[in-house]
Amino acid sequence: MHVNGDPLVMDRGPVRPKSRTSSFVKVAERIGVPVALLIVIVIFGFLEPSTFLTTGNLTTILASQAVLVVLTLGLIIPLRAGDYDLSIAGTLTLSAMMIGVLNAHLGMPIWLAIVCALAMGVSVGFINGFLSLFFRIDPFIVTLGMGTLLLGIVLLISGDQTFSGVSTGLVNVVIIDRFLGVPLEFYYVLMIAAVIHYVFEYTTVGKRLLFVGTGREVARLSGIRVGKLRIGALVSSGFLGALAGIIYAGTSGSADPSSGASFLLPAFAAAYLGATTIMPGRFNPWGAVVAAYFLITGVTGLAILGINTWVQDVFYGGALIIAVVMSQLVRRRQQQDIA
Amino acid sequence: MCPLTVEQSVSIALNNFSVAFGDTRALDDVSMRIMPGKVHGLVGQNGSGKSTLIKVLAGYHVPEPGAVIDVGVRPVTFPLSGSSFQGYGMSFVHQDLGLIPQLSVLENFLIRELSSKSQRWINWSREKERVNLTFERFQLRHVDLMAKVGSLSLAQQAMLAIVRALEGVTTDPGEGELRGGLLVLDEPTAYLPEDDKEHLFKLMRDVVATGRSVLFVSHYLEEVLQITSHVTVLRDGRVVGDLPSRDLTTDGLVELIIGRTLQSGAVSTAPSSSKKMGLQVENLRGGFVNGVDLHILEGEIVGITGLLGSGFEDVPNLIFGSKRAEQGVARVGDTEYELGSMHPARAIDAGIVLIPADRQHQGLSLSLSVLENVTLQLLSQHRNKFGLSRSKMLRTTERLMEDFDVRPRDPLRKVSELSGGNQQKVLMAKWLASDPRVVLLDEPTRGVDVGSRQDILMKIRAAAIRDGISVLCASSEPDQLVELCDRVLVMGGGRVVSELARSELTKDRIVERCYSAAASNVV
Repeated sequence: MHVNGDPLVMDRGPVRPKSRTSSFVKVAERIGVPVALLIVIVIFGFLEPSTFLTTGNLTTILASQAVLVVLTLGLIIPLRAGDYDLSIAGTLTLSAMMIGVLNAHLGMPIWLAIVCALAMGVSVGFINGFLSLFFRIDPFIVTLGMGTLLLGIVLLISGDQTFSGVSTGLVNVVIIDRFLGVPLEFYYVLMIAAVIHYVFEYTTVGKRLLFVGTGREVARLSGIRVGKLRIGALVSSGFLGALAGIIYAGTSGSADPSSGASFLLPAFAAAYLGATTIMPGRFNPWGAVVAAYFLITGVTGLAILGINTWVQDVFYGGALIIAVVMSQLVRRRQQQDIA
Repeated sequence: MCPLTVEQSVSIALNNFSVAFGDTRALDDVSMRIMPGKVHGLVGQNGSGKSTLIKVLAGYHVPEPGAVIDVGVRPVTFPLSGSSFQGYGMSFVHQDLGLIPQLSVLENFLIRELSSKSQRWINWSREKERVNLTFERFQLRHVDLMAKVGSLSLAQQAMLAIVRALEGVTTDPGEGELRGGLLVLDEPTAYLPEDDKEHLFKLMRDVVATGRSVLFVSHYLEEVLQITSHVTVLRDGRVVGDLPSRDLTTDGLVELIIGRTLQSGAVSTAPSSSKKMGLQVENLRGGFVNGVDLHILEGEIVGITGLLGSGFEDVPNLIFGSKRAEQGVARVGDTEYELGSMHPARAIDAGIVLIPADRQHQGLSLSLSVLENVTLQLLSQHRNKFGLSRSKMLRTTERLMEDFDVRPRDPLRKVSELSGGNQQKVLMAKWLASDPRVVLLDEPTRGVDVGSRQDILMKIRAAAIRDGISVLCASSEPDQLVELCDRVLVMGGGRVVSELARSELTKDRIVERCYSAAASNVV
């Protein structure tokens, strides 16, 4: 149709894909954080082989910190839809405290306490979603308020006390029982990540969620029920926040009114760092798992080296900033590819 | 700030303006003289060079060497810098008015000063008084300075923008030496109701009474003849007419604009009854649309067009439900849909799809891959027993990329990494592959290179003929309508005013009908 030398033909671009970024850079991007995790393990193992490389320590890292990983996995669902859930640490704390108060203090059967805590998480997610959608408020603000409100309720129902003596039934299935020497909660993490991966990649809901997060108007004009999906994502994060709280209570065998809130920032750091790896450029569950373990390993290793506790905050805060900077660099690099 | 007298004023001369974009000459040696104290009209089709001319004056485009602006006071040199036009006594009200809806009237009024002066403190009560005085001077009443601009009517917003522009001229630093002054109004009346146009015209007369000039750009020729004393007509970047308004009629003006004699008589052919009805819409109202009936046969491509503000651009969105209609019924096959409660999901279920004009924000998710974008509407066809099958989706995407000639053929490439034309092909593939019965197109080739444009138009035709899809194409490009459509509906004042059958479709006729449709609605 076009003769040679037609200027139009040049505009149409080559048929063969041509990428300016070498495949090496792309692969390096994908496996960056997993490699960093290995490097961190090797360094600490070299510096402190007698403490860091013990099964006890590795078990601690894999299992006892599972709470943070579950929380991160909860967070990436609304993030995938383009929304923040800042109330998720409040949900975690309230959920753990409900186990403490209902089971340890009031003697409610543990299964019923768990059901109540999960129902609370789902309700919080639904209220977050309803307020955001019905009144058209940014979930960022709604969940910011909700998070603090939930922490207030924790203080109210606990009287600012710590409750110990959570049912051994829960403690056993969380941290005592082991498979291949690792407490079961580590496997819960893997199961949750696998389910989220399946939903994100192999279901229509997951694909639609991606469009809601990357182009809301595109999603709406493609007939996607944007509001329902956003509420669904916040309900999911509420549910996983509550589940993280149950695991938290099971791990420590008790519930305290304050420590849960400190999980929020590390969870965001892990979610954003996770979005730069495995599937760079989007929030993905396996990236989140690897990133969370990278952060936990770093903090644990530094603690073993005898560095003060302030380092934890510096490390987590710094990681969040670096993660966001990195994701910006990835985006800019991809834009340069076009130009 | 004393009113300037006509005697002091000088005419503004623009000489030898030429601007080229690549091979096209947007302006070719354009000269005109605007007399002081007069409203001067500037008319021409889309693409005739009107907006290029205005952009040259505003310092946005740099003309080729030899261009001269003479405002009578000081020599003007090119390139004009960003806001230097203010120093030459020119001020502009562009089509989009340049107001920020979230801010108050007062804040909008002070924007220019807030951005240009290195003023550290704002004396709000003094500024308020000053703006109130200005409003009084221009008889702009019933406007609350603290109200958000977004809450005002379109007419009030237009007035506000104009008064702001006027005030900019009169209080400029170089006021002492400034005698003339030119206010450029680019299509200010397109969205104004009749009553407010009167107010606007009064305002323009007040302005010229002080010795300033107004350059009035409009498609509404009746209005142009009513308010101007002189009209310059542009066609293909050249001045083809420069006449006193009293010597002109609207018909004469249209002839100058399209460059040939008018053919009289509105001919309309009845739809051939052999084919089945694809889409029927009755009494559609909402936005700028005020009672539209239309029908499209299976396999038929119907264009809909008109001037800015005629409502044609709202029709696809109102049928699709992406913009809520006040009223109306759509019939697809045997099913009837109430358009007042239509929304995109329901429209898609009904087999109606909309291919939006704003590809980047409404059509495609740029940060996702071609595969993900193209298969979004086809997800249910790509399941196996484990869920979505990536390999099936990959095959479909490869087939569609081949079909629609998307280059490069990389299904995993992000859409943002494709050229505009290829993005548009991906958008077409996404929707045409979803097996629709009715396709609504909104400016289908905006921002698309010429080669891709041909491909896209061919694809639409093929889909209509082969699959019997009914197509409604809203477009402001007459060329495109001629190439694509079996029939074209021309809107004016929110209604379909005339209809052109395939046999009578020419670019000139479409343009002519657009102008006469607009004129027939001017009371």
